[in-house]
Amino acid sequence: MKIPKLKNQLHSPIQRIRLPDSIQLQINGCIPLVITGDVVAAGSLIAKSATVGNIERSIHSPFNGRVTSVSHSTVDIEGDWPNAQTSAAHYEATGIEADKIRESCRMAGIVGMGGAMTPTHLKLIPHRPIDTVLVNICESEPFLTCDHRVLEEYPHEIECGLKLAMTAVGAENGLVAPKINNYTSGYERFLVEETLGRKVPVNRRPTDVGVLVLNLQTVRALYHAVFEQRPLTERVITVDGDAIKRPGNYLVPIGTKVGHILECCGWDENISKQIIIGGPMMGDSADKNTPITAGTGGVLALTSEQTAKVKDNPCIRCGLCMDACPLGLWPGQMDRNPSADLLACITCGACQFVCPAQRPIVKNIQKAKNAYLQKSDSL
Amino acid sequence: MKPGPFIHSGFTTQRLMFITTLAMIPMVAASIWENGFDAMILYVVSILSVFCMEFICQRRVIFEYSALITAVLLVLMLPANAPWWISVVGAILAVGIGKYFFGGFGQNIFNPAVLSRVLLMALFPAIFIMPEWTVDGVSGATLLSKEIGASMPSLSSLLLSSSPGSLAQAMPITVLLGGVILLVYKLIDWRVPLFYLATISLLSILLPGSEKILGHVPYLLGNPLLHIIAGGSLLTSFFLLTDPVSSPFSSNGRVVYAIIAGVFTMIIRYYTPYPDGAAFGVLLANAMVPTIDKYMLKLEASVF
Ligand code: SF4
Ligand code: SF4
Repeated sequence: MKIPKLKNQLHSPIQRIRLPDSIQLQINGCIPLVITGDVVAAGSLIAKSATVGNIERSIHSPFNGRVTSVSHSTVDIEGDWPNAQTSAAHYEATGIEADKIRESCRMAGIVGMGGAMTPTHLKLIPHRPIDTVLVNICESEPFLTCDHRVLEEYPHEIECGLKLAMTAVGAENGLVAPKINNYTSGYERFLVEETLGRKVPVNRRPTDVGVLVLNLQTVRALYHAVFEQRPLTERVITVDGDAIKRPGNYLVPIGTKVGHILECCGWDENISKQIIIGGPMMGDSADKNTPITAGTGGVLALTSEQTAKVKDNPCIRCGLCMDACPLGLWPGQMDRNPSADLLACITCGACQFVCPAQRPIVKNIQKAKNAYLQKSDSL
Repeated sequence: MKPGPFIHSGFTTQRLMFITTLAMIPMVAASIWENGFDAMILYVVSILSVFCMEFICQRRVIFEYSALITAVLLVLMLPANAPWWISVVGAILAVGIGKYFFGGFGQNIFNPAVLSRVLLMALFPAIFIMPEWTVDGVSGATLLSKEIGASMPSLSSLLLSSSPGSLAQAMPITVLLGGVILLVYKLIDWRVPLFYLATISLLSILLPGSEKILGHVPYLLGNPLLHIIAGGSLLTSFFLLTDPVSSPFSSNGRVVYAIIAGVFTMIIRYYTPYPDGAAFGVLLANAMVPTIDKYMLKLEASVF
């Protein structure tokens, strides 16, 4: 049983969303550099991670505006979008030597935009020899088409960004991975195996076989950072679902609240059953106040017909979950017989999608995993 | 913690059971057409008794397609001239022992209907008695045990006409039709009927039959077609063996399981006085499922 694609917005050109009056930046783990009442300019540094040196994350304002509140995890800014995108004042245009690329990347606060949000400059340090940089364009989550549109509309920027990444890690080959028609092939380990024929062992990363995998919009952000001196303050997301009247692919400032996006896209509150940020398989449920982060690929508003109902009926041992699992695990039974298999699970949700008994398999696995980790810790 | 997927395939237990119920309609219709009012009574009594048993075990009124399926399968495995009360006893055994004794739906090791049928056979052998061991009667026997002269029936007559035996044998082509529906909707794993029927055909040729037991029906030896169509093999391969709850988890495991059921069926048919080993075959294969699952998982893990 295949996970459906539902790529309804494949041909909708990227539009800039009507700009919100205020945004909320998530700064978890970073130290705010502003206080309430501060006036900030677009592109100025708002927060920075505590660790010095290489491991640094920075967050910038997309606005010319005023800081309205600061907490340990969020900064709220109210203001006007600049007429022209002003370049950040706090760092200089850099050349394209490896060090300089990493430096630009660090200064621009680029993080993995596929969801993991690891600072990208760390990934650009070749701890092991890397010969190939792979841009992941699988976008395996149903509904999401933002990466596809970015590649379609800005191929040049992707190509330049890829070259920068190759220079930074000293790789000879760069590849924009071909699309593979399978939900789970977007998983890095399989992607590397399918496109390059290199098997990545369990619990290893693609870098262990000389491959660096980057998200498409991350690569574009790298281009912006180096060639346009622009920090990461916006991204393209897909807005879709049957409770949305004007679905499409939208350029939104990072920190925009879901409520604003829904309002702009014609949200029908009466038929909306579930709001999701990210994809429908691995995303999170959201409400109107949830802000978009650098790793958010979409905002979906699904009707009750589109939304899965979790029922927890008895397992009928049909084996569909096992056939669906990309790792060949035994999802329906794993929580009852805890083993190291639990740790291999990537919570992709394929098992729960196919389960006829509509069991909350992913939740069960995560619970069992936590219990298993605690038990092995205490040993 | 990840909340898990927000979308679902739409293929639910309810839907699976509903389509299975629809797939059984042709068989049921054929058996009523062939056997008339008696068959109808058996179905009605069986369905009522199963739901009464469900009510007693769960203490609330429920309607589940799985219970309906058990009730109908139970009757399909009974001889046409069975007395009505056998349905009541069968329902009590299927629901009480087959299902709730093991912890309810999803926990049952054995297919409840098959377990019930085998227990009935042990408790009331007279109802299932074979004609060779009675003086005059041929009723209650399957084609596999009935002497129908020296000539072998043709394929079309095999598929279209009833052979005395259980109600499912009223018109074998309706069983096949039901099986095709299940396969088209991908409700059952095609490997199970394929490997089960293949094992039966192969063994019917390869196994040296015991002349002592099969002497009276010599054409049964080495006649795969008869073994597949007559007797309960078709019903078993599409409807009994494929019950997900009592079959192995992995697709490789299901291949092994189907072969085991086929081997048992043929051994019973060739070397015991029971002419139809299908029900025993299913039960024995069910019993091996935990072992198959364990072994297959290990095997697959080592390949992975
Ligand atoms: S969520 Fe885990 S167990 Fe389920 S299919 Fe994905 S990897 Fe397998
Ligand atoms: S898919 Fe669901 S019902 Fe089927 S075996 Fe897995 S957990 Fe059980």
